[in-house]
Amino acid sequence: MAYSETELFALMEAIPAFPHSGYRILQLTNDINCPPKELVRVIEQDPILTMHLLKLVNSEHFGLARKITAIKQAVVFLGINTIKNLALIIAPMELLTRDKVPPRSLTDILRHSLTTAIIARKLAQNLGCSENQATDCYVAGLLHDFGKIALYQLWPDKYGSLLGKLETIEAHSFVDRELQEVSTSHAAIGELLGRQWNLPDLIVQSMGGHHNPDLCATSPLLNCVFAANLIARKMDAIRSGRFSRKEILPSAMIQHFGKDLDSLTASMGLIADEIDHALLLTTIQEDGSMASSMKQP
Amino acid sequence: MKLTFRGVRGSIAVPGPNTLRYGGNTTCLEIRGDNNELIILDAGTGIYQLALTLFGELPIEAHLFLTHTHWDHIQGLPFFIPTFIPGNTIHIYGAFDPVGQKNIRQILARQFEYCYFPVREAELKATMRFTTLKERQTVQAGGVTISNILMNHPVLNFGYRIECNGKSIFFTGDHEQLYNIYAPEEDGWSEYQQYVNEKNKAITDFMHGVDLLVADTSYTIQDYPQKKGWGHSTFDANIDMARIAQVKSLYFTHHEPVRSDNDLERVYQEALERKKVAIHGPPCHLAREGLTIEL
Repeated sequence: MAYSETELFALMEAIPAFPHSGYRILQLTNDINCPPKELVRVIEQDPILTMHLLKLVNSEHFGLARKITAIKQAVVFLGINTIKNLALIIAPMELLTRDKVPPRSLTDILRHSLTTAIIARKLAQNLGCSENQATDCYVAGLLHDFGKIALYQLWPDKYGSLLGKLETIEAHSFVDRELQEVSTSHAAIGELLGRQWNLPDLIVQSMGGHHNPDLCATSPLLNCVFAANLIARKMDAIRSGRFSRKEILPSAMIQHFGKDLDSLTASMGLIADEIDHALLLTTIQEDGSMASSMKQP
Repeated sequence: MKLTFRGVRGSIAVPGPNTLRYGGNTTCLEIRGDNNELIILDAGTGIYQLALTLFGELPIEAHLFLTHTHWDHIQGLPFFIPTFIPGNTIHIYGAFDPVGQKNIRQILARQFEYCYFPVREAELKATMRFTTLKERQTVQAGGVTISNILMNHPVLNFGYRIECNGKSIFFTGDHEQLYNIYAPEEDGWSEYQQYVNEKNKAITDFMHGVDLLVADTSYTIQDYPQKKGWGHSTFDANIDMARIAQVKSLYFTHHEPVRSDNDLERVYQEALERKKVAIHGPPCHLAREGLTIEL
Protein backbone atom coordinates (compact mmCIF):
# COMPACT_ATOMS: atom_id res chain seq x y z
CA MET A 1 0.00 0.00 0.00
CA ALA A 2 1.23 3.48 -0.82
CA TYR A 3 2.46 5.76 1.95
CA SER A 4 0.26 8.57 3.18
CA GLU A 5 1.55 12.14 2.86
CA THR A 6 2.23 12.27 6.60
CA GLU A 7 4.28 9.09 6.37
CA LEU A 8 6.19 10.47 3.39
CA PHE A 9 6.93 13.74 5.19
CA ALA A 10 8.28 11.76 8.12
CA LEU A 11 10.53 9.81 5.75
CA MET A 12 11.76 12.99 4.08
CA GLU A 13 13.29 14.28 7.26
CA ALA A 14 16.22 12.08 6.33
CA ILE A 15 16.70 14.11 3.12
CA PRO A 16 18.84 17.25 3.35
CA ALA A 17 17.36 20.71 2.94
CA PHE A 18 17.27 22.17 -0.57
CA PRO A 19 20.43 24.13 -1.37
CA HIS A 20 18.81 27.38 -2.41
CA SER A 21 22.28 28.86 -2.89
CA GLY A 22 22.84 26.62 -5.93
CA TYR A 23 19.62 27.91 -7.49
CA ARG A 24 20.56 31.51 -6.65
CA ILE A 25 23.99 31.12 -8.25
CA LEU A 26 22.43 29.89 -11.47
CA GLN A 27 20.14 32.94 -11.47
CA LEU A 28 22.84 35.45 -10.52
CA THR A 29 25.28 34.31 -13.15
CA ASN A 30 22.72 35.01 -15.88
CA ASP A 31 23.75 38.61 -15.55
CA ILE A 32 27.20 39.56 -16.80
CA ASN A 33 27.06 42.50 -14.37
CA CYS A 34 26.19 40.37 -11.35
CA PRO A 35 27.73 42.16 -8.35
CA PRO A 36 30.74 40.18 -7.03
CA LYS A 37 29.77 40.76 -3.42
CA GLU A 38 26.32 39.23 -3.99
CA LEU A 39 27.95 36.09 -5.39
CA VAL A 40 30.33 35.99 -2.42
CA ARG A 41 27.40 36.38 -0.01
CA VAL A 42 25.47 33.48 -1.55
CA ILE A 43 28.50 31.18 -1.50
CA GLU A 44 29.49 32.12 2.03
CA GLN A 45 26.00 31.40 3.34
CA ASP A 46 26.24 27.80 2.19
CA PRO A 47 28.86 25.87 4.14
CA ILE A 48 28.82 22.85 1.82
CA LEU A 49 29.22 24.94 -1.33
CA THR A 50 31.99 26.87 0.42
CA MET A 51 33.73 23.65 1.39
CA HIS A 52 33.52 22.24 -2.16
CA LEU A 53 34.85 25.46 -3.64
CA LEU A 54 37.75 25.68 -1.21
CA LYS A 55 38.63 22.04 -1.83
CA LEU A 56 38.64 22.69 -5.54
CA VAL A 57 40.85 25.79 -5.35
CA ASN A 58 43.26 24.09 -2.97
CA SER A 59 43.55 20.97 -5.14
CA GLU A 60 47.01 19.97 -6.14
CA HIS A 61 46.33 20.51 -9.86
CA PHE A 62 45.48 24.12 -9.23
CA GLY A 63 48.95 24.57 -7.82
CA LEU A 64 48.43 27.66 -5.66
CA ALA A 65 51.41 28.76 -3.63
CA ARG A 66 49.19 29.66 -0.70
CA LYS A 67 46.41 27.74 1.01
CA ILE A 68 43.06 29.47 0.57
CA THR A 69 40.79 29.31 3.60
CA ALA A 70 38.01 31.81 2.88
CA ILE A 71 35.81 32.73 -0.08
CA LYS A 72 36.76 36.42 -0.02
CA GLN A 73 40.39 35.38 -0.04
CA ALA A 74 39.72 33.07 -3.01
CA VAL A 75 38.17 35.99 -4.90
CA VAL A 76 41.21 38.20 -4.25
CA PHE A 77 43.77 35.53 -5.08
CA LEU A 78 42.05 33.92 -8.08
CA GLY A 79 39.75 36.62 -9.36
CA ILE A 80 35.96 36.82 -9.31
CA ASN A 81 35.52 35.33 -12.78
CA THR A 82 37.36 32.13 -11.89
CA ILE A 83 35.36 31.77 -8.67
CA LYS A 84 32.12 32.47 -10.54
CA ASN A 85 32.87 29.78 -13.11
CA LEU A 86 33.88 27.26 -10.45
CA ALA A 87 30.66 27.98 -8.53
CA LEU A 88 28.76 27.36 -11.76
CA ILE A 89 30.23 23.85 -12.00
CA ILE A 90 29.45 23.09 -8.38
CA ALA A 91 25.95 24.61 -8.24
CA PRO A 92 24.03 22.11 -10.42
CA MET A 93 25.70 19.14 -8.82
CA GLU A 94 24.90 20.62 -5.44
CA LEU A 95 21.23 20.84 -6.36
CA LEU A 96 21.24 17.14 -7.15
CA THR A 97 23.44 15.67 -4.49
CA ARG A 98 25.26 17.25 -1.62
CA ASP A 99 27.92 14.53 -1.91
CA LYS A 100 30.77 15.71 -4.06
CA VAL A 101 31.45 12.20 -5.27
CA PRO A 102 28.05 10.61 -5.82
CA PRO A 103 27.60 6.86 -5.42
CA ARG A 104 28.11 4.84 -8.60
CA SER A 105 24.45 3.83 -8.78
CA LEU A 106 23.43 7.48 -9.09
CA THR A 107 25.83 8.36 -11.91
CA ASP A 108 23.30 7.59 -14.64
CA ILE A 109 20.58 9.64 -12.92
CA LEU A 110 22.97 12.59 -12.51
CA ARG A 111 24.01 12.46 -16.15
CA HIS A 112 20.39 12.17 -17.26
CA SER A 113 19.36 15.07 -15.00
CA LEU A 114 22.14 17.33 -16.26
CA THR A 115 21.41 16.37 -19.87
CA THR A 116 17.70 17.09 -19.39
CA ALA A 117 18.56 20.43 -17.75
CA ILE A 118 20.85 21.54 -20.57
CA ILE A 119 18.29 20.49 -23.21
CA ALA A 120 15.36 22.11 -21.38
CA ARG A 121 17.25 25.39 -21.24
CA LYS A 122 18.08 25.15 -24.93
CA LEU A 123 14.46 24.42 -25.86
CA ALA A 124 13.33 27.41 -23.78
CA GLN A 125 15.89 29.67 -25.47
CA ASN A 126 14.74 28.41 -28.88
CA LEU A 127 11.15 29.27 -27.93
CA GLY A 128 12.31 32.82 -27.17
CA CYS A 129 11.91 32.61 -23.37
CA SER A 130 13.83 35.11 -21.19
CA GLU A 131 17.16 34.06 -19.64
CA ASN A 132 15.50 33.76 -16.21
CA GLN A 133 12.76 31.52 -17.61
CA ALA A 134 15.42 29.47 -19.38
CA THR A 135 17.29 29.10 -16.07
CA ASP A 136 14.10 27.90 -14.40
CA CYS A 137 13.73 25.33 -17.19
CA TYR A 138 17.32 24.28 -16.49
CA VAL A 139 16.63 23.91 -12.76
CA ALA A 140 13.35 22.08 -13.42
CA GLY A 141 15.18 19.72 -15.78
CA LEU A 142 17.88 19.19 -13.19
CA LEU A 143 15.34 18.38 -10.49
CA HIS A 144 12.66 16.50 -12.46
CA ASP A 145 13.94 13.13 -11.26
CA PHE A 146 15.03 14.30 -7.84
CA GLY A 147 12.45 11.91 -6.39
CA LYS A 148 14.66 9.05 -7.59
CA ILE A 149 17.66 10.43 -5.72
CA ALA A 150 15.49 10.88 -2.61
CA LEU A 151 14.14 7.32 -2.84
CA TYR A 152 17.67 6.04 -3.29
CA GLN A 153 18.77 7.92 -0.16
CA LEU A 154 15.91 6.33 1.78
CA TRP A 155 16.37 2.76 0.48
CA PRO A 156 19.79 2.46 -1.18
CA ASP A 157 19.65 -1.32 -1.65
CA LYS A 158 16.07 -1.84 -2.68
CA TYR A 159 15.77 1.28 -4.85
CA GLY A 160 19.34 1.00 -6.12
CA SER A 161 18.61 -2.37 -7.66
CA LEU A 162 15.43 -1.01 -9.27
CA LEU A 163 17.46 1.90 -10.72
CA GLY A 164 19.81 -0.64 -12.23
CA LYS A 165 16.91 -1.90 -14.37
CA LEU A 166 15.68 1.60 -15.29
CA GLU A 167 16.54 1.42 -18.97
CA THR A 168 14.81 -1.89 -19.52
CA ILE A 169 11.49 -1.01 -17.91
CA GLU A 170 8.79 0.96 -19.74
CA ALA A 171 8.11 4.36 -18.16
CA HIS A 172 4.58 3.57 -16.98
CA SER A 173 5.55 0.21 -15.53
CA PHE A 174 8.59 1.75 -13.79
CA VAL A 175 6.18 3.71 -11.62
CA ASP A 176 4.29 0.45 -10.87
CA ARG A 177 7.57 -1.17 -9.89
CA GLU A 178 8.37 1.75 -7.63
CA LEU A 179 4.99 1.33 -5.93
CA GLN A 180 5.64 -2.38 -5.49
CA GLU A 181 9.14 -1.95 -4.11
CA VAL A 182 8.96 1.24 -2.05
CA SER A 183 5.24 2.04 -1.92
CA THR A 184 5.58 5.44 -3.54
CA SER A 185 6.83 6.96 -6.80
CA HIS A 186 9.68 9.31 -7.63
CA ALA A 187 7.18 11.80 -9.05
CA ALA A 188 5.06 11.83 -5.88
CA ILE A 189 7.99 12.24 -3.52
CA GLY A 190 9.67 14.74 -5.84
CA GLU A 191 6.58 16.93 -5.87
CA LEU A 192 6.27 16.78 -2.08
CA LEU A 193 9.90 17.72 -1.64
CA GLY A 194 9.64 20.57 -4.12
CA ARG A 195 6.64 21.91 -2.25
CA GLN A 196 8.34 21.53 1.10
CA TRP A 197 11.37 23.40 -0.25
CA ASN A 198 9.15 26.24 -1.46
CA LEU A 199 10.37 25.97 -5.03
CA PRO A 200 8.45 27.92 -7.70
CA ASP A 201 5.12 26.24 -8.53
CA LEU A 202 6.06 25.28 -12.07
CA ILE A 203 9.23 23.53 -10.94
CA VAL A 204 7.22 21.61 -8.32
CA GLN A 205 4.65 20.65 -10.97
CA SER A 206 7.34 19.40 -13.29
CA MET A 207 8.87 17.31 -10.49
CA GLY A 208 5.49 15.63 -10.00
CA GLY A 209 4.06 15.68 -13.49
CA HIS A 210 6.90 15.24 -15.94
CA HIS A 211 5.36 11.98 -17.19
CA ASN A 212 1.95 13.57 -17.75
CA PRO A 213 1.73 15.14 -21.23
CA ASP A 214 -1.71 16.69 -20.65
CA LEU A 215 -0.47 18.60 -17.63
CA CYS A 216 2.75 19.54 -19.40
CA ALA A 217 0.92 21.12 -22.32
CA THR A 218 -0.18 23.91 -19.97
CA SER A 219 3.10 25.85 -19.75
CA PRO A 220 6.30 26.35 -21.74
CA LEU A 221 8.41 25.21 -18.76
CA LEU A 222 6.49 21.95 -18.35
CA ASN A 223 6.57 21.42 -22.10
CA CYS A 224 10.31 21.97 -22.24
CA VAL A 225 11.05 19.61 -19.36
CA PHE A 226 8.73 16.92 -20.76
CA ALA A 227 10.36 17.07 -24.18
CA ALA A 228 13.87 17.45 -22.75
CA ASN A 229 13.36 14.31 -20.68
CA LEU A 230 12.50 12.31 -23.81
CA ILE A 231 15.34 13.82 -25.86
CA ALA A 232 17.80 13.11 -23.03
CA ARG A 233 16.62 9.47 -22.86
CA LYS A 234 17.14 9.12 -26.58
CA MET A 235 20.62 10.63 -26.32
CA ASP A 236 21.51 8.49 -23.29
CA ALA A 237 20.45 5.39 -25.23
CA ILE A 238 22.48 6.38 -28.31
CA ARG A 239 25.52 7.17 -26.18
CA SER A 240 25.45 3.97 -24.16
CA GLY A 241 24.29 1.74 -27.02
CA ARG A 242 21.62 0.39 -24.69
CA PHE A 243 18.10 -0.71 -25.47
CA SER A 244 15.97 2.33 -26.11
CA ARG A 245 12.35 2.59 -25.10
CA LYS A 246 10.02 3.86 -27.79
CA GLU A 247 9.46 7.49 -26.82
CA ILE A 248 6.59 9.43 -28.30
CA LEU A 249 6.21 13.19 -28.27
CA PRO A 250 2.47 14.09 -28.16
CA SER A 251 1.23 15.86 -31.26
CA ALA A 252 0.37 19.05 -29.33
CA MET A 253 4.03 19.32 -28.36
CA ILE A 254 5.24 18.61 -31.88
CA GLN A 255 3.12 21.58 -32.86
CA HIS A 256 4.42 23.66 -29.96
CA PHE A 257 8.08 23.11 -30.88
CA GLY A 258 7.47 22.85 -34.61
CA LYS A 259 9.51 19.62 -34.73
CA ASP A 260 9.07 15.93 -33.94
CA LEU A 261 11.25 14.10 -31.43
CA ASP A 262 13.91 13.05 -33.94
CA SER A 263 14.29 16.56 -35.39
CA LEU A 264 14.36 18.09 -31.92
CA THR A 265 17.06 15.64 -30.86
CA ALA A 266 19.07 16.40 -33.98
CA SER A 267 18.64 20.15 -33.43
CA MET A 268 20.43 19.94 -30.08
CA GLY A 269 23.72 19.67 -31.94
CA LEU A 270 26.83 18.69 -30.07
CA ILE A 271 26.06 19.15 -26.42
CA ALA A 272 28.22 16.25 -25.23
CA ASP A 273 31.04 18.63 -24.24
CA GLU A 274 28.65 20.74 -22.23
CA ILE A 275 27.34 17.67 -20.43
CA ASP A 276 30.83 16.35 -19.72
CA HIS A 277 31.81 19.74 -18.40
CA ALA A 278 28.78 19.79 -16.11
CA LEU A 279 29.79 16.36 -14.85
CA LEU A 280 33.37 17.45 -14.13
CA LEU A 281 32.79 17.60 -10.43
CA THR A 282 31.89 13.93 -10.30
CA THR A 283 35.39 13.16 -11.58
CA ILE A 284 37.09 15.13 -8.83
CA GLN A 285 38.01 12.95 -5.90
CA GLU A 286 37.84 13.76 -2.21
CA ASP A 287 41.46 14.93 -2.11
CA GLY A 288 40.82 17.32 -4.99
CA SER A 289 42.61 15.18 -7.60
CA MET A 290 40.82 14.02 -10.72
CA ALA A 291 39.60 10.57 -11.70
CA SER A 292 42.17 8.66 -13.73
CA SER A 293 40.66 9.40 -17.15
CA MET A 294 41.21 13.12 -16.62
CA LYS A 295 44.75 13.00 -15.30
CA GLN A 296 47.52 14.91 -17.01
CA PRO A 297 49.69 12.94 -19.40
CA MET B 1 70.01 39.79 -20.86
CA LYS B 2 68.14 41.40 -23.74
CA LEU B 3 64.43 42.09 -24.28
CA THR B 4 62.74 42.75 -27.63
CA PHE B 5 59.09 43.69 -27.87
CA ARG B 6 57.48 41.70 -30.71
CA GLY B 7 53.88 42.67 -29.97
CA VAL B 8 52.61 45.39 -27.63
CA ARG B 9 48.94 45.72 -28.53
CA GLY B 10 46.11 44.52 -26.27
CA SER B 11 43.03 42.50 -27.21
CA ILE B 12 43.27 42.43 -31.01
CA ALA B 13 45.85 43.11 -33.67
CA VAL B 14 45.32 46.53 -35.26
CA PRO B 15 47.64 47.08 -38.22
CA GLY B 16 47.17 50.35 -40.03
CA PRO B 17 48.40 53.92 -40.42
CA ASN B 18 47.41 54.87 -36.86
CA THR B 19 49.57 52.24 -35.21
CA LEU B 20 52.71 52.34 -37.36
CA ARG B 21 55.03 53.77 -34.71
CA TYR B 22 54.13 51.52 -31.78
CA GLY B 23 52.92 48.51 -33.74
CA GLY B 24 49.66 46.62 -34.16
CA ASN B 25 50.62 43.08 -33.15
CA THR B 26 49.35 41.50 -29.93
CA THR B 27 51.53 40.51 -27.00
CA CYS B 28 54.85 38.77 -27.51
CA LEU B 29 58.17 39.46 -25.78
CA GLU B 30 61.47 37.92 -26.81
CA ILE B 31 64.08 37.62 -24.09
CA ARG B 32 67.63 36.43 -24.70
CA GLY B 33 69.81 35.15 -21.89
CA ASP B 34 73.51 35.87 -21.78
CA ASN B 35 74.15 32.58 -23.61
CA ASN B 36 71.50 33.45 -26.19
CA GLU B 37 68.88 31.27 -24.48
CA LEU B 38 65.52 32.04 -26.11
CA ILE B 39 62.70 32.85 -23.72
CA ILE B 40 59.40 33.97 -25.23
CA LEU B 41 56.62 35.49 -23.19
CA ASP B 42 53.22 34.99 -24.82
CA ALA B 43 52.34 34.03 -28.36
CA GLY B 44 50.20 36.89 -29.62
CA THR B 45 50.43 37.79 -33.30
CA GLY B 46 53.84 39.36 -32.63
CA ILE B 47 55.38 35.89 -32.36
CA TYR B 48 55.20 35.64 -36.16
CA GLN B 49 57.64 38.57 -36.49
CA LEU B 50 59.94 36.77 -34.09
CA ALA B 51 59.66 33.50 -36.04
CA LEU B 52 60.88 35.25 -39.19
CA THR B 53 64.13 36.22 -37.45
CA LEU B 54 64.95 32.71 -36.26
CA PHE B 55 65.79 30.94 -39.55
CA GLY B 56 69.47 31.80 -39.28
CA GLU B 57 69.87 29.96 -35.99
CA LEU B 58 68.00 26.69 -36.58
CA PRO B 59 67.68 24.30 -34.88
CA ILE B 60 66.41 26.28 -31.92
CA GLU B 61 65.37 25.47 -28.39
CA ALA B 62 62.68 27.92 -27.33
CA HIS B 63 60.99 28.30 -23.95
CA LEU B 64 57.56 29.85 -24.41
CA PHE B 65 55.87 31.00 -21.22
CA LEU B 66 52.18 31.85 -21.54
CA THR B 67 50.83 34.35 -19.03
CA HIS B 68 47.34 33.08 -19.89
CA THR B 69 45.51 31.70 -22.91
CA HIS B 70 43.10 34.45 -23.93
CA TRP B 71 43.13 34.80 -27.72
CA ASP B 72 45.38 37.84 -27.96
CA HIS B 73 48.13 35.94 -26.12
CA ILE B 74 48.03 32.74 -28.19
CA GLN B 75 46.78 33.81 -31.60
CA GLY B 76 50.21 33.69 -33.21
CA LEU B 77 51.11 30.25 -31.89
CA PRO B 78 49.89 28.22 -34.90
CA PHE B 79 52.10 30.47 -37.07
CA PHE B 80 55.22 30.09 -34.98
CA ILE B 81 57.07 28.44 -37.87
CA PRO B 82 59.79 26.66 -35.82
CA THR B 83 57.09 24.27 -34.53
CA PHE B 84 56.86 22.78 -38.06
CA ILE B 85 60.57 22.16 -38.46
CA PRO B 86 62.19 18.92 -37.23
CA GLY B 87 65.12 19.38 -34.92
CA ASN B 88 63.66 22.32 -33.01
CA THR B 89 62.54 21.89 -29.43
CA ILE B 90 59.73 24.07 -28.17
CA HIS B 91 58.90 24.04 -24.47
CA ILE B 92 55.53 25.57 -23.64
CA TYR B 93 54.61 26.52 -20.09
CA GLY B 94 51.34 27.81 -18.67
CA ALA B 95 48.72 27.57 -15.95
CA PHE B 96 46.15 24.85 -15.34
CA ASP B 97 42.53 25.62 -16.26
CA PRO B 98 40.62 24.94 -13.04
CA VAL B 99 37.22 25.52 -14.63
CA GLY B 100 37.66 23.16 -17.58
CA GLN B 101 40.11 21.00 -15.56
CA LYS B 102 42.60 21.04 -18.41
CA ASN B 103 46.38 21.15 -18.43
CA ILE B 104 48.21 23.52 -20.76
CA ARG B 105 48.58 20.92 -23.50
CA GLN B 106 44.86 20.13 -23.47
CA ILE B 107 44.03 23.86 -23.54
CA LEU B 108 46.26 24.54 -26.55
CA ALA B 109 45.38 21.33 -28.43
CA ARG B 110 41.97 22.89 -29.12
CA GLN B 111 43.63 25.59 -31.19
CA PHE B 112 45.01 22.91 -33.48
CA GLU B 113 41.73 21.06 -33.98
CA TYR B 114 40.52 20.33 -37.49
CA CYS B 115 38.01 23.18 -37.61
CA TYR B 116 40.51 25.83 -36.46
CA PHE B 117 43.79 24.89 -38.10
CA PRO B 118 44.92 22.44 -40.81
CA VAL B 119 47.76 20.90 -38.80
CA ARG B 120 47.00 18.85 -35.70
CA GLU B 121 49.12 19.38 -32.62
CA ALA B 122 50.31 15.76 -32.90
CA GLU B 123 51.62 16.53 -36.41
CA LEU B 124 53.96 19.35 -35.40
CA LYS B 125 57.45 18.32 -36.43
CA ALA B 126 59.40 20.05 -33.70
CA THR B 127 59.77 18.31 -30.38
CA MET B 128 56.98 19.82 -28.32
CA ARG B 129 57.20 19.74 -24.53
CA PHE B 130 54.37 21.01 -22.36
CA THR B 131 54.64 21.91 -18.70
CA THR B 132 51.65 22.94 -16.62
CA LEU B 133 53.09 25.30 -14.05
CA LYS B 134 52.13 25.63 -10.44
CA GLU B 135 52.28 29.02 -8.82
CA ARG B 136 55.84 30.02 -7.88
CA GLN B 137 57.31 27.01 -9.67
CA THR B 138 60.77 27.89 -10.94
CA VAL B 139 62.07 26.85 -14.36
CA GLN B 140 65.72 26.91 -15.35
CA ALA B 141 66.47 27.48 -19.04
CA GLY B 142 70.24 27.47 -19.40
CA GLY B 143 71.45 30.38 -17.31
CA VAL B 144 67.99 31.99 -17.14
CA THR B 145 65.64 31.47 -14.22
CA ILE B 146 61.91 31.98 -14.71
CA SER B 147 59.44 32.07 -11.82
CA ASN B 148 55.78 33.08 -11.64
CA ILE B 149 53.03 34.53 -9.47
CA LEU B 150 49.28 34.70 -10.05
CA MET B 151 48.06 38.17 -11.00
CA ASN B 152 44.48 39.50 -11.29
CA HIS B 153 42.60 38.81 -14.54
CA PRO B 154 39.31 37.08 -15.45
CA VAL B 155 41.30 33.88 -16.00
CA LEU B 156 44.35 32.55 -14.17
CA ASN B 157 47.23 34.74 -15.33
CA PHE B 158 50.85 34.33 -14.36
CA GLY B 159 53.20 37.27 -14.04
CA TYR B 160 56.74 36.08 -14.81
CA ARG B 161 60.03 37.13 -13.28
CA ILE B 162 63.04 36.40 -15.49
CA GLU B 163 66.56 36.53 -14.07
CA CYS B 164 69.97 36.09 -15.60
CA ASN B 165 73.36 36.98 -14.14
CA GLY B 166 71.99 39.51 -11.67
CA LYS B 167 69.64 41.23 -14.15
CA SER B 168 65.89 40.87 -13.88
CA ILE B 169 62.64 41.53 -15.74
CA PHE B 170 59.05 41.19 -14.56
CA PHE B 171 56.14 40.93 -16.99
CA THR B 172 52.63 41.23 -15.56
CA GLY B 173 50.80 39.57 -18.42
CA ASP B 174 47.27 40.92 -18.16
CA HIS B 175 46.63 42.39 -14.76
CA GLU B 176 44.16 44.70 -13.09
CA GLN B 177 45.04 46.54 -9.92
CA LEU B 178 43.23 44.86 -7.02
CA TYR B 179 40.28 46.68 -5.52
CA ASN B 180 37.85 46.11 -2.71
CA ILE B 181 34.43 44.89 -3.89
CA TYR B 182 32.84 46.31 -0.71
CA ALA B 183 32.27 49.93 0.25
CA PRO B 184 34.15 51.00 3.42
CA GLU B 185 30.94 51.09 5.47
CA GLU B 186 29.95 47.54 4.46
CA ASP B 187 30.54 44.44 6.57
CA GLY B 188 32.98 42.58 4.36
CA TRP B 189 35.23 45.58 3.68
CA SER B 190 37.96 45.08 6.28
CA GLU B 191 38.33 41.32 5.76
CA TYR B 192 38.47 41.83 1.99
CA GLN B 193 40.93 44.72 2.33
CA GLN B 194 43.22 42.54 4.42
CA TYR B 195 43.39 39.99 1.56
CA VAL B 196 43.88 42.76 -1.01
CA ASN B 197 46.79 44.17 1.01
CA GLU B 198 48.28 40.70 1.40
CA LYS B 199 47.99 39.97 -2.34
CA ASN B 200 49.35 43.40 -3.31
CA LYS B 201 52.33 42.87 -1.06
CA ALA B 202 52.92 39.39 -2.48
CA ILE B 203 52.98 40.85 -6.01
CA THR B 204 55.21 43.84 -5.26
CA ASP B 205 57.57 41.67 -3.18
CA PHE B 206 57.79 39.23 -6.07
CA MET B 207 58.79 41.92 -8.61
CA HIS B 208 60.82 43.90 -6.09
CA GLY B 209 63.81 45.74 -7.51
CA VAL B 210 63.65 44.37 -11.06
CA ASP B 211 65.61 46.27 -13.69
CA LEU B 212 62.63 46.31 -15.97
CA LEU B 213 58.91 46.02 -15.27
CA VAL B 214 56.66 45.48 -18.28
CA ALA B 215 53.08 46.16 -17.25
CA ASP B 216 49.62 45.84 -18.81
CA THR B 217 48.54 49.47 -19.14
CA SER B 218 45.40 49.33 -21.20
CA TYR B 219 43.58 52.20 -19.59
CA THR B 220 43.80 55.80 -18.54
CA ILE B 221 42.19 56.77 -15.25
CA GLN B 222 39.42 58.31 -17.37
CA ASP B 223 38.77 54.98 -19.15
CA TYR B 224 38.91 52.90 -16.02
CA PRO B 225 35.52 53.44 -14.29
CA GLN B 226 33.70 51.96 -17.32
CA LYS B 227 36.17 49.07 -17.57
CA LYS B 228 36.57 48.13 -13.93
CA GLY B 229 36.65 44.36 -13.53
CA TRP B 230 37.82 43.73 -17.11
CA GLY B 231 41.25 42.72 -15.89
CA HIS B 232 43.54 45.56 -17.02
CA SER B 233 45.38 48.35 -15.26
CA THR B 234 45.95 52.07 -15.71
CA PHE B 235 49.10 54.17 -16.20
CA ASP B 236 48.63 55.65 -12.73
CA ALA B 237 48.15 52.32 -10.94
CA ASN B 238 51.25 50.88 -12.61
CA ILE B 239 53.39 53.88 -11.67
CA ASP B 240 52.23 53.43 -8.05
CA MET B 241 52.98 49.69 -8.18
CA ALA B 242 56.41 50.30 -9.72
CA ARG B 243 57.27 52.78 -6.96
CA ILE B 244 56.23 50.40 -4.18
CA ALA B 245 58.20 47.57 -5.79
CA GLN B 246 61.16 49.93 -6.33
CA VAL B 247 61.68 48.78 -9.90
CA LYS B 248 64.37 50.53 -11.92
CA SER B 249 62.31 51.18 -15.05
CA LEU B 250 58.73 50.72 -16.22
CA TYR B 251 57.47 49.90 -19.72
CA PHE B 252 53.79 50.31 -20.49
CA THR B 253 52.33 47.71 -22.85
CA HIS B 254 49.02 46.13 -23.94
CA HIS B 255 48.06 49.39 -25.62
CA GLU B 256 44.35 49.79 -26.25
CA PRO B 257 43.50 48.81 -29.83
CA VAL B 258 41.45 51.99 -30.33
CA ARG B 259 44.37 54.21 -29.33
CA SER B 260 46.26 55.79 -32.24
CA ASP B 261 50.01 56.46 -31.86
CA ASN B 262 49.30 60.15 -31.27
CA ASP B 263 46.62 59.45 -28.69
CA LEU B 264 48.87 56.93 -26.95
CA GLU B 265 51.67 59.48 -26.63
CA ARG B 266 49.24 62.08 -25.37
CA VAL B 267 47.68 59.95 -22.60
CA TYR B 268 51.15 58.71 -21.65
CA GLN B 269 52.48 62.26 -21.28
CA GLU B 270 49.44 63.28 -19.26
CA ALA B 271 49.96 60.37 -16.87
CA LEU B 272 53.68 61.14 -16.44
CA GLU B 273 52.87 64.75 -15.59
CA ARG B 274 49.99 63.85 -13.29
CA LYS B 275 52.16 61.39 -11.38
CA LYS B 276 55.22 63.72 -11.45
CA VAL B 277 57.37 60.93 -12.85
CA ALA B 278 60.14 63.39 -13.82
CA ILE B 279 60.64 64.10 -10.11
CA HIS B 280 59.68 60.86 -8.36
CA GLY B 281 60.48 58.28 -11.06
CA PRO B 282 60.78 55.57 -12.02
CA PRO B 283 61.87 56.11 -15.64
CA CYS B 284 58.83 55.22 -17.75
CA HIS B 285 58.53 54.28 -21.42
CA LEU B 286 55.96 53.15 -23.93
CA ALA B 287 56.66 49.63 -25.22
CA ARG B 288 57.14 49.71 -28.99
CA GLU B 289 57.17 46.81 -31.42
CA GLY B 290 60.75 46.04 -32.44
CA LEU B 291 62.32 47.95 -29.55
CA THR B 292 65.26 46.11 -27.95
CA ILE B 293 66.53 46.85 -24.45
CA GLU B 294 69.88 45.52 -23.30
CA LEU B 295 70.33 45.03 -19.58
